[in-house]
Amino acid sequence: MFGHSLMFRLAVLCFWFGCGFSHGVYAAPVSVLLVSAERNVAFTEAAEVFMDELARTGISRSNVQYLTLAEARTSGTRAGQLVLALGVEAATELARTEMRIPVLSVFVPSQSFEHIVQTAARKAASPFSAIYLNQAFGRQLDLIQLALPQRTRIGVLLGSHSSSQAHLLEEETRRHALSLMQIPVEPNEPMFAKLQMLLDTSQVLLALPDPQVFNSGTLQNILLSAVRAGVPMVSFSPAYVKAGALMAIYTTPSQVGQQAAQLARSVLQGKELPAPQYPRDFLIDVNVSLARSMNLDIDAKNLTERLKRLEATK
Amino acid sequence: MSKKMHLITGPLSPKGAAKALLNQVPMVCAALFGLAPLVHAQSAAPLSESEFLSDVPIVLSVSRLRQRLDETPGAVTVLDRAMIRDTGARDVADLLRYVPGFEVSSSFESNAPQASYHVNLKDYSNRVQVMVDGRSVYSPFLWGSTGPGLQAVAIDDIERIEVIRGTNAAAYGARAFLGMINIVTRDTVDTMGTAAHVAGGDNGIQDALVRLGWGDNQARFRVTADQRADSGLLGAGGRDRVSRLNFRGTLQATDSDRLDVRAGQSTISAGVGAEGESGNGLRTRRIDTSFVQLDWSRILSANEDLSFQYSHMDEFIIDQVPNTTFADVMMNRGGRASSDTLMAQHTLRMRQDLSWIWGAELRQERITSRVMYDTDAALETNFYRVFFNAEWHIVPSLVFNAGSMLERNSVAGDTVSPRTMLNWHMVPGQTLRYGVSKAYRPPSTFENFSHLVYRSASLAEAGFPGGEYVDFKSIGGLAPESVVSREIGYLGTFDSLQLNVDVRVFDETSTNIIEEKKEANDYTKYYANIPGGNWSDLTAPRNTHGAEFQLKWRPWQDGQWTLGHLWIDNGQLYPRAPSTSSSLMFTQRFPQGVRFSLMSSHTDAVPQLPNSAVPGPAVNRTDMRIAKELRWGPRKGELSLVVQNLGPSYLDFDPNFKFVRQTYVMLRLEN
Repeated sequence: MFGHSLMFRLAVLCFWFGCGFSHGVYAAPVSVLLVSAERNVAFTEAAEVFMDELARTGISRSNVQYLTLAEARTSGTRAGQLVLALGVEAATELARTEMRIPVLSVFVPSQSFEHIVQTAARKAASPFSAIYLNQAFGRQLDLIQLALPQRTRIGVLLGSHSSSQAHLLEEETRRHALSLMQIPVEPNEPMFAKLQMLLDTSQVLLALPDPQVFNSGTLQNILLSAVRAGVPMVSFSPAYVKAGALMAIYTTPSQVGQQAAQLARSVLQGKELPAPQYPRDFLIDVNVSLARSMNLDIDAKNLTERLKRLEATK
Repeated sequence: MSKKMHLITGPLSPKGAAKALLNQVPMVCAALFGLAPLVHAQSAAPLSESEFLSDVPIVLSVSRLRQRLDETPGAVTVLDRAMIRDTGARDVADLLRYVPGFEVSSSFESNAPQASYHVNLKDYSNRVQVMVDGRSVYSPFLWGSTGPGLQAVAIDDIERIEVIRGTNAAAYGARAFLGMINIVTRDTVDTMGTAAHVAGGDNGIQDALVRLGWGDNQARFRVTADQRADSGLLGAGGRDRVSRLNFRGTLQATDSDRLDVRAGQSTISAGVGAEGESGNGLRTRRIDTSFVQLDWSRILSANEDLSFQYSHMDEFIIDQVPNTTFADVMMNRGGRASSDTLMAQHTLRMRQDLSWIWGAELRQERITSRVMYDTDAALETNFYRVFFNAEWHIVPSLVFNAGSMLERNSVAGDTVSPRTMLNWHMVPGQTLRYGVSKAYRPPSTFENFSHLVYRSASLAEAGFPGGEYVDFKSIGGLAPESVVSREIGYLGTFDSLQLNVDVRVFDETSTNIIEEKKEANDYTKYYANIPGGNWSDLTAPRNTHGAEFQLKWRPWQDGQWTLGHLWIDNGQLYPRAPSTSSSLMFTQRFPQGVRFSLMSSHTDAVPQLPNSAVPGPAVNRTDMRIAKELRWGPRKGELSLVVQNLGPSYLDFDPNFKFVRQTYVMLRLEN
């Protein structure tokens, strides 16, 4: 990854000089520059939608360019008005610079963004914001209450990445009149007994993204134990629903691209970059076979509509 | 995944030297077995977007999802772990008194405590299949029996018991003639760490268990050693002891391949017979059973699975009967039964509304008993089975299950056992079920080939020609028993009342029932098919019909009532079966981890007890259990007091055997 070696610092400097702070390497400036550490399916899809959306409002695609960090370094492409950082790695690198162009980060979980901002050298004068990748807890709990109204005891396994979210979740569960069972799991600690204790006392297992708790090694046993205990998992990723979670609420790359395009448009029109925000749009996936097996009458489309209606009233 | 050893950090806020000491236990266990407990990957990097975007392996594929009770092709009673514990039952047979339609005995006289469904408890209850984790534990020795199989695992290792009330031959073959008891043991992930219990009380009750679970996410293991011992029924032959050692290993070989290895050994040692009784003297009979089972399952996709199973079982019966009348007659009723089974199964969800399961099984059974068959050769029976079942959601409210078992029995020939069942969700929570099924039970090796002959000089002196006393001599060529079962079921869930109702109305017509027979002028017994009716009217249909229901009601928080009832008119078939039986169970959880349960069961008087021609009076039994949960951080324990049969003693199995009140105390500890 990125250490603090001399080569790394030089590379960063070279890249950001290229974005308008240096005359060392010159390339024609673009209005909006999209950067990510790598190209993957999700980033590419979001970038395509982002550029299409801007094009619809008259911003030519020639004024928008999507490059990887490495490509941006070598080409010296400059951003005139906005940089869109896709992913944690790009956001982290941008936060280490002192450029004055607004930076909007997408595909960044809220806790990672907070961590990046806290540890970055970046000055407050330059706007640096984000559309979080994760859903607000309020939205997740609304979903649970709509889909599983009889289940009021929420269980959560907390690892080193998710423990910083505990207080937010506590607040939201109180606001929703739900009870919360949080079990912290230490790094390198066996989880079996604690998982059992959580499943004994919970009616829904809310999965928070945390590779210390949920990884390809642990997911098998967590899902099987949860189903045996009759405790469905509500997750943050459609892949988990395919694997065996009851449902997931998430934002698609396309929705990320659309929301980012809207914010970009307002920046390009001279408005300020808004404060970090949770994703506006979402999708709900339901594991229909599991729902049927658990005798739960849950329909993704119906849930989506009801949740949107509920949010509209707030 | 790190394989280095780590301590379990124990309670959320571990304090104190005692707790620290307890913390050492898993490490010691791990050190003993050279394996580390589950540990997590340690991570210092900020949370990446890949956690949201990456694919993860399929876990709950089609065969790992349980069919809903209101969509199963038959009536199912599930006894879960909480209920099993609340009953205070010390073995599975004792639990089955809470399943509508079952009759239960605690006697070890013929083999082990057994249970039968809709038919009387004969010496061997052989018309119900018993499975443990997908492996048949039906004992093929003699007439076939559920008894030893019901003792195959420690009750503490059981996750749940699914009792299919009604024939299930379409899925599990001939022995699931009238019903099936499917015992599912706990996954190794749920039994990590150490656990132990000891129990002691009246009637010499001395039960004990030690369980050790260790491993990590990829490989986990469990060893359970336990004993169930008491002095048996009052008037019976003496002390009964079941001791077991069971191993289970689970290996997650790849993201989609899982291997389960099970092996075990059990000994059922029972005091049977009576002092001085000719041909049934007082003695200790042993049934030693050992097995190994390998299961390999592969997830092909969320909608498709493959599984393979191999199992081997060995059963040794050691039963040397003292004979007072003819002391020189060697009466060894022992022998050996062994089996090998190979099975493959493919499950496919073709569409969201259509699932399909099919497979094949090869099974070989070998029985050896010098005395029973007058030969040292093994009597071999091969089973070749092909089975399928389709579940089709015609419309969301209509589920159609159709399946069949095609079975070739090397002794009894070919049979086809089809089943169709239609489940109609009239409104959410209200389901009607109608179906027809057919099943066969092939004659057991003993029924078909017995040649139980005693030879001695004293018999010759007593006038037996050639000094031979031929107790049984089969005529062979028996046809399989068959039954056609029709049923109407109803399942209702009333959320506002917290009430679940399960009703089954059944009609079962049998042909070719195999019964013991003896000619009027001869003492030698044999077996024969009765085409219909009884021996005096072979043309009348053998029909059994009736209804059974089960209610579960949670009228207030943490309280539950479970009521089961059977009414049966068995006409000429199985004349000793009771006409009604019922059970009632009340459980209440109190604060501070206190649980209370009260159970009552009733069985009507029967014209004959299983072990004699003497009528059996009605049986009323009431049990009570009170337990207090103990906790030390994540570690749990429980202290419980159980009283079995609060009322007067009742006759069980034999006119001389009585189940008297017995009280025991159990201490359970888990880390």
